[in-house]
Amino acid sequence: MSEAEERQVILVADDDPDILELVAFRLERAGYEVVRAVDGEEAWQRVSERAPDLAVLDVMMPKLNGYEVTQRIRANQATNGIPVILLTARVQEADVERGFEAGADDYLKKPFSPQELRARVQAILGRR
Amino acid sequence: MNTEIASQRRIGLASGLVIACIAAALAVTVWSYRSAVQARSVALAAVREEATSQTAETYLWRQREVMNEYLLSSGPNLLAEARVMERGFEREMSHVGAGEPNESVLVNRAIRANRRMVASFTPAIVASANTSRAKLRINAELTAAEDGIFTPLRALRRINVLQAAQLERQATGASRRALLAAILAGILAIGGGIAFARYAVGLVRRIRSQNEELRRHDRMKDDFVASVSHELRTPLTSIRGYLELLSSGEVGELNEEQERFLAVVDRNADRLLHVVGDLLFVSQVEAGAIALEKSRFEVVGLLTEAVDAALPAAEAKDLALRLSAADVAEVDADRARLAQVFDNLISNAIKFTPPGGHIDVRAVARGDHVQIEFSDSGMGISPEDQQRLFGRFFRTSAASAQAIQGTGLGLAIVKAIVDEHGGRVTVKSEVGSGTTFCVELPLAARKLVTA
Repeated sequence: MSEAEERQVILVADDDPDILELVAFRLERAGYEVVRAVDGEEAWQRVSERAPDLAVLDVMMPKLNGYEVTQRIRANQATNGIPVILLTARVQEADVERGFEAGADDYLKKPFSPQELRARVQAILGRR
Repeated sequence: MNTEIASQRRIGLASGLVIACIAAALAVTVWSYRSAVQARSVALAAVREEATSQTAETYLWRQREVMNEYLLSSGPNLLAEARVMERGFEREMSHVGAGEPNESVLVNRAIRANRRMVASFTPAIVASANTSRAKLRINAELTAAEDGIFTPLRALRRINVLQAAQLERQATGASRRALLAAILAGILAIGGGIAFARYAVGLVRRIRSQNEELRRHDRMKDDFVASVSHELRTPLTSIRGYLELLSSGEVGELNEEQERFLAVVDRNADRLLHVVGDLLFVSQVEAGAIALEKSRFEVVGLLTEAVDAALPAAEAKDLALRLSAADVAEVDADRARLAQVFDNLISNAIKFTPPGGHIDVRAVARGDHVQIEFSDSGMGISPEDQQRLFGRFFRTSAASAQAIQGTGLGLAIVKAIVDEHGGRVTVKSEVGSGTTFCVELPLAARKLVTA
């Protein structure tokens, strides 16, 4: 169990259970511990409880959208160091800009490759 | 279209009606004015006649006085003077009642009665009346004869005075009518003008709101396309993601057949994704929402990449895909968008060229722009199809007939991107011998000069 203690924790939030499962599976296979959330509010709750090493947030979520969750993470002293990757089905430049303005570290356009997501996650966590 | 015609008809009818009303009122004005002028001139003539007959009467009275004097003194000149007065009377009377039968009758009666009276008053008769009694008798006869003259004269004057008064009234009535008609015409003109203006303004407003409605429909359609694209991307994420997990072998090794089938699913998911992307792009173009991310780069470099990427597909179909480019200068363009243009044109050429053919891509700098040609030895495009080639969802009859895959969005996207760069795309083609698409883009150097 001591090995499990060392695993890095990633919060994944998506209202689509299939995508949530896909991302979680990929990241768990890559050796991370995944905390799941199905909407923005739950995502923020889990982030504040667990203080994960990284958050992967879908943009279009009920209750709080990905931008809003990102803003909360950035606004809170305890969480503002957590890197955020946004998953967006939108492709307009304005949406990407909005994500970075909210404080995201990276974004992936849907549909994305799970391999690519893993690579980005590893790049961000490896940097630290 | 129908409402437009109906509106035009209504405008025509309304303006015709107003113009007709104004014309009618003006006609009434002119007619009334003319009848007023006429009545006044006739009245004036009656007044003049009345004055003339008064003058004639004066002559008569003087004639009578001279005759009385002659009766008393038998002066030699007096009879001649009476004759002068008689002629004066007749001259004046000749101006009265011209062209009016009942007046002429009266005039003639008065003249004849006077002539009879003058004729009866001969020097012999006067001389025979040497007693004052006889003179009084002659005077009484003359007075009796006078009645024959004055009665028609009085009747004449009465007629003229009445006529003048009546005509005066007529003239006044007619001029009042003319004034009213003129005012009516004015009111109609103003009223018609106002009504017409209001109608025109209403019409313009209606047309504007119709246009607004059409634009709203367009926006709704674009929003719809955008949200449909979005909704399609989410399931596609799952499809492709899970396919990738399966193919990676992490959840168990696949046999060759399973791998092949999964590749088919993957390829089709990919195609679907492309269609969604194209749809979204076209709806953004419609909404005027494509923003270019420009950078400066060598256009031949990008062409080389596009041709290299298409080589496997060309070889698979036994097509010779060649690139020939002179040293072409740089362009200021959106690299990803331009790559989309080149990919679309090359993949079209591969799609529409039968095996064994060739595709030539050439880039040449001409003055301030670069000309990039994509020529194939394919089936060609008929002149009718060429006209609509760059429209959305248009598919050539040959493409449909031969069941060549495509959404009919590729060339619309090519044109949108090239247009957005300030360039243009044209096509030359002959059925059976091939097609050449030509993309012209402004060179970066020129932009610097103009800037």
